[in-house]
Amino acid sequence: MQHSHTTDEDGFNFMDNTGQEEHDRDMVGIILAVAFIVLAVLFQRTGLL
Amino acid sequence: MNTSYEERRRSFLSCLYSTQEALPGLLAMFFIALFSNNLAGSPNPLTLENLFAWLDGVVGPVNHQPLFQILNSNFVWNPFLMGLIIGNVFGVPDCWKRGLSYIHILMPLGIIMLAPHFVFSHAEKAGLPLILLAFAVMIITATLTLVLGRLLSMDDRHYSTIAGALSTGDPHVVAILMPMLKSRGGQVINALGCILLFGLVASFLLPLLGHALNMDDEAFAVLSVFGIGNTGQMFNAAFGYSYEAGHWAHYVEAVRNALMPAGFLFVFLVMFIRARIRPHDEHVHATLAHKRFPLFVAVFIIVWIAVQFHVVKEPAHLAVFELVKWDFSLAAAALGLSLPLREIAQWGLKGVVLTFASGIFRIALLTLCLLAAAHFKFPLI
Repeated sequence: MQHSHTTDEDGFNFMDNTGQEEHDRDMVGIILAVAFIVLAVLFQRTGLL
Repeated sequence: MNTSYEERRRSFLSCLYSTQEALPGLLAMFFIALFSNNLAGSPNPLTLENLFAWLDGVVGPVNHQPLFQILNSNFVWNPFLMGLIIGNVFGVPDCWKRGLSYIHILMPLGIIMLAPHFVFSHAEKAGLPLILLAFAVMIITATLTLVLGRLLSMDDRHYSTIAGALSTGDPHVVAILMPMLKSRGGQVINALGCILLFGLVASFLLPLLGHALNMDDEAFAVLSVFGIGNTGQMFNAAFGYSYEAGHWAHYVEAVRNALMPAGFLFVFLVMFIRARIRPHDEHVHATLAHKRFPLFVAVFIIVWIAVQFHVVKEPAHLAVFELVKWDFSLAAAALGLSLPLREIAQWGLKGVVLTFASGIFRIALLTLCLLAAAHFKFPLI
């Protein structure tokens, strides 16, 4: 049964997070997080922050 | 008919979808975040945060604390509340849904960026005896909550979320544990409500206990910080006892903050190992969807270890924390939009029973330890 609050007419459930899609989302999150932290540290060490 | 993700995938960036698909939902999250919190780079003064601050000024302080801090107004709660009201009153258009799914990117992103916030050396000033006491009480509380939750026949994702948030003393740990335990949105918010309710009741009753036992200011500060935890609520209890106890609570709070990752990682590891040992048990749900150890948790642990060597100093840490506020504001907006109120209510009142039972046990245990320390003149601070 589709959940009208989280599922659209095409059956896309935005609260679902499994399989390859979950792996890819984790990867984007990890890359962004590490990039933000590294950039903040680099900016500080070079006197930009 | 919708094509599956695997069919449309070209690279790992396919999870971002096209701009046309994702933009409406992202804009919804963006504007809810923008009108909820005072975020870095946003000059908008018309925020829920400022409204609550104005109301705090009208009501006046309660035990030297702003009332809405005691009621848990913060950068996670405000956008969640706004999203919840908008989602339940007006509904969520289909065209928002792919954008809202960015919550699954924002969660690991925010959790890893939180790592520089937990620096163990901040707790050193309080001394080893207090650190060991806090650590022991945290692990005992988490273990007891997990056992009691099982005895109450609750869903394991629900009681483990409560265990993590209650033992660390920070209700927002429910959001950190959500992708780790694979908890449902309704369970997470139900757990958050239980922890907040317990903290609110305890923060007004704890000073009565302290006066009845004639505790000194330092001991009562320890009892407030580790017996309640949630910042506004523990300061409400400590300052409600005495001004000195409130000051000591500020001194001791660093210990709770530094130990927090150990608490939620303990709960996650217990549930992860349990799910690996009993994968076919119909009562095991928490972490079961993880086929292997989640990479974002491993990266969090690596970054957490790295920051102990003071790699991320001020103001880099502050800059990263401002990004965390943006991140969790957006994610909380999406979570609020996704939750019909009935989904929060469906997990019932067992969570309240569990939270109060474990929370009262923790206060009793801490009180006994503090009275024993006073009796034997053992200097905890």
